[in-house]
Amino acid sequence: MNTTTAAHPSAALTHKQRSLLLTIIAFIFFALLPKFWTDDGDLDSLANAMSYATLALGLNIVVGFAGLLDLGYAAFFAIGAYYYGIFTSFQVMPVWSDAWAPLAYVGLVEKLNQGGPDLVHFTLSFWLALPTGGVIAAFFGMLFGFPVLRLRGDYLAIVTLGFGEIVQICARNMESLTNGAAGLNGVQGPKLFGYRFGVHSEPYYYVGLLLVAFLVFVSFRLRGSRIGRAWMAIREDETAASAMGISLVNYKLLAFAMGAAFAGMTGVFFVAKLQTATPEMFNSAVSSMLLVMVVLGGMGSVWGVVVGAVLLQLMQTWFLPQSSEWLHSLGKLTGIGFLQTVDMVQWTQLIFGVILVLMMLFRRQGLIPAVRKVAPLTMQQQTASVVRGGFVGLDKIGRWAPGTGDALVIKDVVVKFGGLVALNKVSLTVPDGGVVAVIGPNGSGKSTLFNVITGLVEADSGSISFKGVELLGLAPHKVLEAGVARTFQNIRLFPNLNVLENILIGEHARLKTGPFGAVIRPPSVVREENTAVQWAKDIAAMFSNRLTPRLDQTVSGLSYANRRRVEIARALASRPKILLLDEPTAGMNPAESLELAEQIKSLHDLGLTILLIEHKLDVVTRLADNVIVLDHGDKIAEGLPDDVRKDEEVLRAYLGRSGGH
Amino acid sequence: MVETPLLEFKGINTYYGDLHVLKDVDYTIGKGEIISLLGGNACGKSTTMKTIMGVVRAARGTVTYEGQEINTLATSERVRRGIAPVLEARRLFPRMTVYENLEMGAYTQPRGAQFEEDIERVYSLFPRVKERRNQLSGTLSGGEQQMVAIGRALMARPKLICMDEPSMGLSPLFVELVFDTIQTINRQGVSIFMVEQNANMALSIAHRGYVLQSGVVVLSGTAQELRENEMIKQAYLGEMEIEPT
Repeated sequence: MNTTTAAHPSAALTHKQRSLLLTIIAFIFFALLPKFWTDDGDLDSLANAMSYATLALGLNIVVGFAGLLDLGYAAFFAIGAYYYGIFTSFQVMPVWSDAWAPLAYVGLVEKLNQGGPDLVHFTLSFWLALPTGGVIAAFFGMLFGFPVLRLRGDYLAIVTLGFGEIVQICARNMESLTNGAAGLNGVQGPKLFGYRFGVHSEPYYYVGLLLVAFLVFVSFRLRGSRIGRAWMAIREDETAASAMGISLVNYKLLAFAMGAAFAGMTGVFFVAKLQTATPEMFNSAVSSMLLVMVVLGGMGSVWGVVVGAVLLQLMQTWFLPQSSEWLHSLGKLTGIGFLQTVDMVQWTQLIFGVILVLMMLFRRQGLIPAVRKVAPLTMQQQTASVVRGGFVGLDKIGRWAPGTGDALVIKDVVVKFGGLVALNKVSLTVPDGGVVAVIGPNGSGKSTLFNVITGLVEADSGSISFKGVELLGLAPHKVLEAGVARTFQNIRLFPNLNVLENILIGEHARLKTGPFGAVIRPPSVVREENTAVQWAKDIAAMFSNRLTPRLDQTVSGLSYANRRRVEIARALASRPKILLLDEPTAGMNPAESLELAEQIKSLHDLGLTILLIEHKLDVVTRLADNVIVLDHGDKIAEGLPDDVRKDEEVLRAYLGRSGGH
Repeated sequence: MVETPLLEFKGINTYYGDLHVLKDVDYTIGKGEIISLLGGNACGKSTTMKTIMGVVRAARGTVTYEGQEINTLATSERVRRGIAPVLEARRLFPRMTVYENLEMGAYTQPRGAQFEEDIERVYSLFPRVKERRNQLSGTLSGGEQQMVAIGRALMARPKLICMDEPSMGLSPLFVELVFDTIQTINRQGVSIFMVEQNANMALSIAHRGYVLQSGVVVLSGTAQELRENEMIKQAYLGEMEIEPT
């Protein structure tokens, strides 16, 4: 370390470097631990704690990242466990035929004769089982995930609870495969270059440590990538996530698969270490314990769930038995009878319960919260004056090159909700590069119009085509991919993510990084990510100093107007060909509304096509080439802003006696 | 004003964690007054509302209501004593009917003749609410929800109604209706404290106003004075409101 950094070591390190340093120190500590802590039983407890940590890491992907409450997670643990158990024990032994010979050649099976016909004995290598166990569990993760895709929250939890039970019951009753309640016996331990792991804890401890390190690494890589952002977007707001181009089906399945893969690998490790597998090891108590670990550690926080899992597991298997002994000695010393006989292990559930209640009361975000606290803005950063004349820094955004025809053509669209006709044969066109405004009383179908364009509600009849692409029938993320981006009337941001992440999620459809790229992070992915961040910052910078100083603040803490701005920034980040703005100036004072109107105008000047819902007629007049008036689902007027303002029907239904003043 | 004000803020300071939101803020709301609170976004307007309702407690300073200090009084007790809120974005109980929402407004009041009388009063102010009384409030349009929200506040027989952005997201026709109704309610003797982005509308019905910037009251006066103030014209009214269009 050179002298300058030695003077202020902590000040010179960024948060990222500090956590990397801590990680390395922790890893070295645990790597050296068996050298000075040689108690085999304690190391065994630690190795068990590590397998719970890897399980918690997997569950954290499903629950913490993607927000899919899974109460049957132990099912995947069981699948990995039985996979390894069955293929290394003497449970399943088909009759030998020469077709097995190639497998025997590579060492996966061996020929066995116990005095009958020749039998096949599976001898799957642990090192091969570890990744393949992950793959098999991932496959089951998708299989279970598929039917529950439409469910969320409580409903999803109940169904996963059911899956968890099914797997356990299968394990109990498919006796020919699993030996039922008695469990698998004679499971082989791992071998490494001829060295048998046997029953000593130390080698398992190291495998466990490496597995934790690997899965922590994978978790961090995923979380900081396009994949992790998509999961968190789904957790925060499914509708907004799909409208920003995230395929709900793909990413939910990916989360189930990834979480299941972690559990499958742990299952292989756990059974190899225990050399047996019984159905009780995977019952619903295990699933709920894992959920407790995730919540205690901090949902969504990678280190949090590791610490939560290790602490709870060590408390159960190490601290409580130890403390019983301490209390017994104390009892003998003081002569208090109660202390001599107390067994703390029996109190485990009670102590867990108390810890959980206290955590939820005083530290709901967990031991290590996923969201870091950000320093409040200085007075100077907070001060924003109204900027006139449109967006700044538009040169970085590029231009749109509008054609001459119509961009969006809506024809006779009908939407019914039960008996209510929300849109009744509405037709409208937005010319390429034009601005069309939709006005009308509250409840006249304006937002429904946006929802039907963006695929959030289905039309009963009609057609909507955008630049020749039929939008009706497309999923919301496909509509965004076609270049249609929107904002929502009641603002649908991802509240617990920061401004930068929100804008980056807008870019999702324009980026390519997949799960493997995200973990391995080759130069192409690094480049893509850097470009994406720069683009997000350029977009934020357009709003002068309103968003740029707040890039790392969670959006739930922003003012109403700034949340509206983030939503517009997020939509622009998707590089849309048409922007659908639903009451963009709601909640802004006239001066701020004017600022935003001019900013929208400046986008229009660059050639962006815009469809706008707005109540403030001054904004409409300033922006729109053409105005559509809806009332009770019917189009009652259409024309130039000034003509529409004079229309008798519009005055009656919408503007009132003073014409909007 | 010679009589004791209905509600008074004296040297109020409020914090969210480390963030100092309201800084030595003073307000007075007299009986029968409409007070409009102006200010940019995130300057402490909603915090003011929450401090009045007791959702947020002031770290320093006193809130006095009808001559009594109410700093530590629970929100529910404040409602019982006659301070009723109309919350930002309405916040109705969406899966309850309009009638049930109104019943909830009268939670602190005795049932019986008084209830019937109060609900008739709401129905006469808003005939539309009567028409929709059996509908789930979540299925109403924004304007109708705002009527129910105001009606729900009235059911508590308030002396003071605190309104957070009553015109937000409403069509011009409804904005007018809401402001007309606020005046009608006020003429029946209820004081109104209102946060409103539509500054022009707000100042046209208010008696007095305060301007809050970064948690500090930078200006106060009669609505007339504020309307003519150059700073207000530029920052809050915006030229588009002045320009006859």
